[in-house]
Amino acid sequence: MHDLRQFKPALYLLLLLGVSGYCIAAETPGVWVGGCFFILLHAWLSFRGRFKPMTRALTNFVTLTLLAYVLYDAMVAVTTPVLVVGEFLVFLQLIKLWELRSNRDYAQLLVLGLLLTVAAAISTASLGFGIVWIIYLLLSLYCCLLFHLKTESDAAIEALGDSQPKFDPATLEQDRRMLARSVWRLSAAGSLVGLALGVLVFLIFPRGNGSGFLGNFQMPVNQTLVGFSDKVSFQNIARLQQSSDTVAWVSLTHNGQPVEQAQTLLLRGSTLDTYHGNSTPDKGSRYQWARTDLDEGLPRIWPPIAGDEHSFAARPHELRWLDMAPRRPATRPSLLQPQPPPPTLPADTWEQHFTLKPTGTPVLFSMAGPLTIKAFNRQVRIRYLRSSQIIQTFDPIREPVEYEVIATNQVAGPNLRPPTLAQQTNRISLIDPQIIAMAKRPQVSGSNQRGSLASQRDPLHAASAGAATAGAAAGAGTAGAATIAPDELDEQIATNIEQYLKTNYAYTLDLTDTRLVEGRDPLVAFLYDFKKGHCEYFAGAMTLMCQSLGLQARMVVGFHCDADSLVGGYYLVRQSNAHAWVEVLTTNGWKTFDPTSAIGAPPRKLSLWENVRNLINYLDFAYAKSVIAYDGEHQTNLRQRGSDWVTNAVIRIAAFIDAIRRAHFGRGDPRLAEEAGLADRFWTIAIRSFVALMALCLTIAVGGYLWSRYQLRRRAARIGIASLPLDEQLRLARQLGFYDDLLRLLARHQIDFAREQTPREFSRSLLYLPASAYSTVLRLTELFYRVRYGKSELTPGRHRHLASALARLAEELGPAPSTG
Amino acid sequence: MSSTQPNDSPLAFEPRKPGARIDFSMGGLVYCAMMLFMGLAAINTQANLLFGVFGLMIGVLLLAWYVGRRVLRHLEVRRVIPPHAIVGTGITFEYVFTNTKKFWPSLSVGLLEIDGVGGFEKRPRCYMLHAAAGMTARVQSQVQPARRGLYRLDHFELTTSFPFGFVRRRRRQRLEDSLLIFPPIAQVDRKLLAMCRSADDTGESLRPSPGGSDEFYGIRRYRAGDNPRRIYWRRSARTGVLLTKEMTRVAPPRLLIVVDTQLEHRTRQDHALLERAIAIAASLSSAALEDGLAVGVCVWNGKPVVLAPSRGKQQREDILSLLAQLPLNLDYQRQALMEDSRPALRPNTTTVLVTGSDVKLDFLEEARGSVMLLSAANRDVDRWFAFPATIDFAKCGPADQLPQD
Repeated sequence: MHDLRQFKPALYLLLLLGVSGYCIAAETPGVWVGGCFFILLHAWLSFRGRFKPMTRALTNFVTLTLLAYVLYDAMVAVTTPVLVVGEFLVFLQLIKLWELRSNRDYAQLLVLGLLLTVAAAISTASLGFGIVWIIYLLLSLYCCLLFHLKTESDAAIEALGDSQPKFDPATLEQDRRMLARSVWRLSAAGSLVGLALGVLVFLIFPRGNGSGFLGNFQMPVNQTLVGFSDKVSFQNIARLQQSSDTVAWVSLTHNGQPVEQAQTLLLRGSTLDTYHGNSTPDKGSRYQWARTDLDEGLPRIWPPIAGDEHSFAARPHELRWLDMAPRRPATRPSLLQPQPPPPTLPADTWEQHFTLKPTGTPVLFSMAGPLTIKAFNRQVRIRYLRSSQIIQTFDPIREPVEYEVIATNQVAGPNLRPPTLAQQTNRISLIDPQIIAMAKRPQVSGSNQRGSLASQRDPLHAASAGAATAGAAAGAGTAGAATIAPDELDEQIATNIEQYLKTNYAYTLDLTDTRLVEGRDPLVAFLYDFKKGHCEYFAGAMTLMCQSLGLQARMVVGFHCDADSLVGGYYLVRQSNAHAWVEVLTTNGWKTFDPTSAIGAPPRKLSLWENVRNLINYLDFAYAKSVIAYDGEHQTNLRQRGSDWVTNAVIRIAAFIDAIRRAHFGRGDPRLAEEAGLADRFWTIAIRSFVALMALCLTIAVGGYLWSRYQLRRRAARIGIASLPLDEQLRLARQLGFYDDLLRLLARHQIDFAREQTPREFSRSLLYLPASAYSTVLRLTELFYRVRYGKSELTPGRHRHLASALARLAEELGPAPSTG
Repeated sequence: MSSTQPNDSPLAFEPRKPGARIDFSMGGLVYCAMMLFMGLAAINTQANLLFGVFGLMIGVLLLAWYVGRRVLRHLEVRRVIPPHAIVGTGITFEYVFTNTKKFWPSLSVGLLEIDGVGGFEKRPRCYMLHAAAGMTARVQSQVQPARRGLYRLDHFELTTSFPFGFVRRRRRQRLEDSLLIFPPIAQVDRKLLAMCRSADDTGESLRPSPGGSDEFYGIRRYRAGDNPRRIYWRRSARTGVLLTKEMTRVAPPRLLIVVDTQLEHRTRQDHALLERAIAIAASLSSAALEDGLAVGVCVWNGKPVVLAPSRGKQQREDILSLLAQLPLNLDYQRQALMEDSRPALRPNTTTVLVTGSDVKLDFLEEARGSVMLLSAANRDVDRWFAFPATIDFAKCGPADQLPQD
């Protein structure tokens, strides 16, 4: 009865989009492949007429089986319940698709699809999903309109019973040609309204109120980061695959000014100062770097130091000082007791605004010398370790964290852990003798006139009154015990080792061509056998060599971002930016050394694809920041900006009016006389120019109007409707322009319209024209009659169509003969 | 989302009072509940995409409200119906929907007749899928007339739940038309028609009379208004007076149907017999007219009415219209009606008395053989009239003449 053939293709496309959106959100390519395959297969069978719906019994069996599978998957796999529900919804959609019988099944398919995308929307902040979702919503609107027409039409047939409606062919033709256009038109209007309302609610709906009042249904996410890890181990030698996944976006300002020129950015994550070589009885913990005071499961060299850790809960938008010494709470607050003045920031600071993706580790990154931290999107429980100046959360990061750190970019923390002589002796004893031997070589650690620097440096250099400049162990629990202190030669030795490693070793991520002898320390193998490795080998080797000579050194793991990482004012921190370097305590404080060699490193040049990927990453970040992370503060800022804009506009308008007023009425005031004179001339010219321009525009408009009327009346005279009332004449002249063009075209070919003939007679007299041209003339003449006498109206689109038909006719008739 | 329940069908509803023009469907209520749930979920999770979806759902609801309103506005409906119908014979109503809007299409509109629907088995209704902006759609609807009489179609209701089925909008419009439904007409046995020519065999009927166009009858002076083709030019030229030929008139058999509509008891059975009698009269007159007889009717229509026997389509329509609109006759008796019919009787006229009662002719009339009796109560009559099997004569009467039992 009705032509609704657009519905099914639109539905298939909708299903494909829904499944794709979900799979983008859940990162399940297998489900995507399977889902798309079954949908396309169904479409193929359906269009071939070979589709037979599944029986109810089979449907129920498959549904129960898949339910069991999903429940099992939910129990064994670590994922969110929403994604589990989404996976089940995908399966349900496929089942429903394969048992399609009635409109009810179509309705269920549409509802399931919407629920599926909502489940996906809750679970992802991906820009790709956002784009797919918007397309999905628009298409679903179109599908819903068509589906409604289908159900209404079917229900009408059912209600009419035997008296089935009949349609005249013109109506059916109209449906065929224009139904899709009408529905698209409504869909577009609906989408505009829906999107406008969506954006409006998104922007102005109050945030924060009522958050979590229904409880939090999210289970903890167990996501781990592939590239960065706060643990370093050399147990496995293999090829490392660099991942370009984005870890964080960092916005950097220096003393309040945005950093416009890209500079190298070292983001410290964690420090590692103890290496467990093959001396550890537990084989599982061999060849690992660790933090001596924090790492569980590894033997401790010394106990944690009291006062090293500062823990607090950073509430959203609350600025907290990191290095705030713990105070004893007053027994009773006293108003008379003077409060300590709030700490002030140094003059030279770097503000880093991080948007950190879930890393699965508790590490929060920052430049060296962090002073304050401010969390944005949620409350974070922070612990700050003064000795190593690293910031961590208590729990691994499972959700994106947005925070801001102000830092000095100087590693100047107090040395709260100067080792005692016994501890230093113990540490050196753990180091492989071959590493110590390597470190003592003059070409490695350097030499001067008195011999090698290693021989001049006492590994057990005791602290003295003036030696421990970099950080006395004030109040650190080691008072009274002799501790190791930095020597003046330390910086030189560290520099020499750094240079040696840089120049004599090569960088590689692929160690598959090397062979490690059982029981041989990988770092020894690196120094003596492989002579190549990645940054952790370089940093680990240098740290160990420095420690073996009595220097206090630690390996730092974090990210190294260069100029290529700066995109759109943000540093794009990727997994491939993960890096390890060394910090050595010198008499001038902690110094940073990067021993990783550039020899053998692939040239760093961004390909076109990487640039595109950077752009996509930036858009992804902008989407996540502006849409996903839109909160009450953004809302307030937006409102404030709008308010400011209005205020400024009002001020500008007021100033403008005031200038006019002063120009025209301020002549009596001698203070304004001169200014008024200038302004007067300016405004006089401006107003006159404006009036002249307006007059010109008005003249052009009136002239154009009159000219068009004149043209229409001439046209009316040419096509023989001049005797009609003027309004009708003009209306028809507008409508029948095509016929006038036809007559003029024929006149150019010396075929004149005889006044005694009717248009139909005239058209039928043109039998000598080519057949197609004759047919076109006949059709145009019939259309002329329909418009002239049948009250048909031609749409602009029809006019365009007629113009093209006339153009084709002109081509068929060929060039007009010359009149000469 | 649209529901597929039959009750939500665009046509499966009864007209509401004029004031009730908008109502929420179950789907609409479910949608509103889902929208509120989405709002709560957005507030609870503070997920920005859910806020966007919440706004989108509000937008869709507003759109449904607005588009439903636009669909019915500026939609002109014209009803094209035949001038008359016959009970038991389906006819087609054509509804012409003209969408005079410049941008918005009109989609999924149901139409339901409100006034004058008593004469049909089902309320006339139709469903229009689509009328593009500025275009016209024509939808035909089959209706089955069930009761004779004149029915005035006036108000009708347009309804739509487009675009999403959340809200059903109604709009009542007025368009006055009338439809006359004739009584059922059966196929008549040729033997009966032959019997109706019984008076044709008398000598008087064979005497030619002037005024027709059959054969030459004579010459007379030309009078203004005469057909110029009949001017007898040769004789006129000879005499100098304009003369015209007169032709004989065919004198067809005349049939006068006297329809006795008196109801003694208003039982269902009596009503059925009466309607059957009226249908017999209609069938007989229709068939006789088609067979070339001049047919007249004598019937009580509030007062005795005699349509003199004549021929032609107009006569057929006049007779059927008269029969279609016969009022309830409780008093006027058969004998009086027979007396009323006598002025229309001529020697070549066969009188047929059609009645719903089981009556007998008196001896004199039977002896003369000038009156035929067709009694609906007599089952022998059935063999001459083949009515459609679907017709229930007890329900064929006008809506205001229902049985009282």
